[in-house]
Amino acid sequence: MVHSPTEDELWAAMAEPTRRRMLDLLLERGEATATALSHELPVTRQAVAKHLVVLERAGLVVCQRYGREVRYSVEPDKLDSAAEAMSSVAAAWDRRLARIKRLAEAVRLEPPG
Amino acid sequence: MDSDRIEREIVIAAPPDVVWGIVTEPKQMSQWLCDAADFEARAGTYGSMSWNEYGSFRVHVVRVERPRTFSFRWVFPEDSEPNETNSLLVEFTLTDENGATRVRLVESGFRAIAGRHAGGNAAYIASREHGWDQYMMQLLDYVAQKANSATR
Repeated sequence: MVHSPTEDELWAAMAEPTRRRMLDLLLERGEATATALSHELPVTRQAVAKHLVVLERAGLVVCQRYGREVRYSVEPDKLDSAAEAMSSVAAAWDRRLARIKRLAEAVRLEPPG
Repeated sequence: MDSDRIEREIVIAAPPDVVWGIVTEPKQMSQWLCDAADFEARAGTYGSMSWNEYGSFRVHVVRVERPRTFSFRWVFPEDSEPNETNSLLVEFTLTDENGATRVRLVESGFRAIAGRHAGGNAAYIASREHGWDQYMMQLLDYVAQKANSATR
């Protein structure tokens, strides 16, 4: 399958355990600075900053500047669309099962021959 | 939310052997699932399903126990044999309810294919039909883990 660069970036962003842990922390706290995140993780502030760049590029986090501080938070739309993906599969099966029902019940209505 | 499986049920006002034919015969399947299906409802065999829009995909028939159980695997890499780590399992279970049929559908394996690396795999139908991508599966898995840990 051909992936656009953005899709590859997003996939790569999610595949790295430290970055997933960072997303966990950001979800728990609502928002955090790179320094605050580095206190909770076994990596340096510099490493955290690099991971944040990857996450930001993939559209998973957004940053906001408050004076001298830059605070990061999770971009909720991305995660919401993942949850919606599962319900769209369920909806597809509902449509298929409804078609099976129509077909089967139509067979029954036909006179025996 | 369970990110690994989808379970649906429907009750149909027709006996199981009628429903069985519609669920398992390739010609009938093209009326509710795909544009064309070519396979034999026999365990262990391979066949194909095709969609005009997406192309043709291999399927592997897993269980056929007329008129109760029918299952197949799909969404696996073109160059590999399907198993529980690289494909989705679709299982139909038909139960007679006073002449009507309860159809239970379970599609499972989303977690396994979410872990599959994006590179080197054939296109797969679920992702295309639903506009999904590997990254979407990865996200889904992540969201489910969050949901599970939150309710624990």
